[in-house]
Amino acid sequence: MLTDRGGTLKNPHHILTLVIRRQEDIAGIRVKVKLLARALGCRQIQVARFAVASSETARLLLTDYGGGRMQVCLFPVVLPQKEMDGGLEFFFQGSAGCRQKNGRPCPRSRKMLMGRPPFHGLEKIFAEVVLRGGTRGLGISIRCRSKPLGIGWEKLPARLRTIRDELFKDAGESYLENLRAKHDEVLRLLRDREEQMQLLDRSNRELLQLSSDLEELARERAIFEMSLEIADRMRNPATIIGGLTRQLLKRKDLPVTFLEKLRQIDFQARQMEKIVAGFNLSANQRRQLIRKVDLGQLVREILETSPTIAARRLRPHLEISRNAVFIHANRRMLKIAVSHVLRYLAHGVLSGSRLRIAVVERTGSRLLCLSGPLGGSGDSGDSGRIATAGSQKSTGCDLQLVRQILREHQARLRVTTRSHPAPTLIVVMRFPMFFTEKKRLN
Amino acid sequence: MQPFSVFSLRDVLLVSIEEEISDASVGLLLDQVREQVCRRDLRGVIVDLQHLEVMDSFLAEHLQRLSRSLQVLRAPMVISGLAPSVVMTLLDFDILLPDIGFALDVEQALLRLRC
Repeated sequence: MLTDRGGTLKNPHHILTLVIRRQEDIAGIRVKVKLLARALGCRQIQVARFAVASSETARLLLTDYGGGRMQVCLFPVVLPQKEMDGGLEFFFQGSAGCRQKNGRPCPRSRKMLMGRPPFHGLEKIFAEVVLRGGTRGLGISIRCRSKPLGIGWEKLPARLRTIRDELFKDAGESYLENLRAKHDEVLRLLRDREEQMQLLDRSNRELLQLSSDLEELARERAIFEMSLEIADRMRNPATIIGGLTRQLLKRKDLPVTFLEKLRQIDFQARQMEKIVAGFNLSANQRRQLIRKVDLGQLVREILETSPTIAARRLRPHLEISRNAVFIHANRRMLKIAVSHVLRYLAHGVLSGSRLRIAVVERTGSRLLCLSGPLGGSGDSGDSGRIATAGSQKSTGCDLQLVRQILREHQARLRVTTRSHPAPTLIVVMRFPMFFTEKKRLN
Repeated sequence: MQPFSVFSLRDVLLVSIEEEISDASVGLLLDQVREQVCRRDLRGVIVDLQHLEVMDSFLAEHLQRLSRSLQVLRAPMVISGLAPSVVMTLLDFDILLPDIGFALDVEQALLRLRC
């Protein structure tokens, strides 16, 4: 019970939750809302409006969103005279994503959905209507808040018992059903939380792996660059010292002590030449990490282990040939780059949408094309939220780093958006084929 | 118990709906009215909604359908006794009832049908 010692309700107070599963539930919802509105002392017009609003919205949920539930709460309103009043809040939540019904397609935009009944009516009679989702196969939630009802917030605790008795006087079963609905709701929330924790755990593990991969790559790169730098700097002095020493050693007129010193210098110069050769060898070995990689296979592997795809409930639609499509690349680095691009795209497209992944063979190049309906992580219905270049998503890996990895493969990354026929986020990775050097590559 | 009653006022059928009617009962009501109109030679049908507190799009749509089918059967339908709150809510939600006759009460509805 959300009351302080004085008995004043402070937070929104839950009154009842009703499930919408069958057509008969709609009449039940209407009756309960009428009873509640009457018990709160609403005028007849308000009673009729609330009842029709709940009936119409419940019907929308039942026909287009596989049913759902309705929650009714009382919420406090501070009036200009600093007095507290109460209003009614109706919260509707659909059970499933929007589905096509009787030839009526799922709305593609918020505007289209708001144009359908009963939203026009809801906006007329309620002070606030908040709609989330409901388009493009997504689930829906609608929160409607009434204007202050003039019921006096301070007097409500005393009236709640009467209101509850009034609500459930027709059948004891209704109260039990209400409790059952609440119990189911708690269980559902717990299950959701568990799933979210698991996803979070998987994402953390993936991030940790990516982070250690990047660290390893950075370390390798630093050693490689340093090796080449040292080798370049040492090569000339070592060669010159060694050459001159060997020329001097050929002279026979030098004193024996001086010759001993020259032999020592020659020995050390040869040691330095060996070190330079060693550095060159390690650089060559690193170059050999670039091998033939099947791009399609690589993409499939990444998709199998990507928790982001599962977390965002995306449906990958692969357009990849059964035949291997080879490119020359450092497999590990490329895997990191593609993983990050995929993660970037997953956060940029609508949750639950279809993600098109295609490997295309062109003359002189191979393309990896990824696209999906533009949406953004919050899926609030606002499109175009995602930045299309260099933006950093939750991986901690900037697209600039992906660009750098691709640049080393002489490949290019292009991120664009398309507005027609529907807002779409497109990412294209182009790998050129002139890169191959058969002598050096396996 | 059915949330509606059907009376016969000589050549007019009077249908009275209670304050609340479920979707299933709406279907049953429509079937009964159509059956009686087909069986008897009636001048018209009065649907009295003076007790009804709420009319949603489902009920409105079915009354509309009933009215159309009764027009084919040459028995016009008149709705009587709609409460102001019901009318205002219908307007709020853009629920329209075109091609249906309205009367303030049953008496006026009878006059309308017998004129």
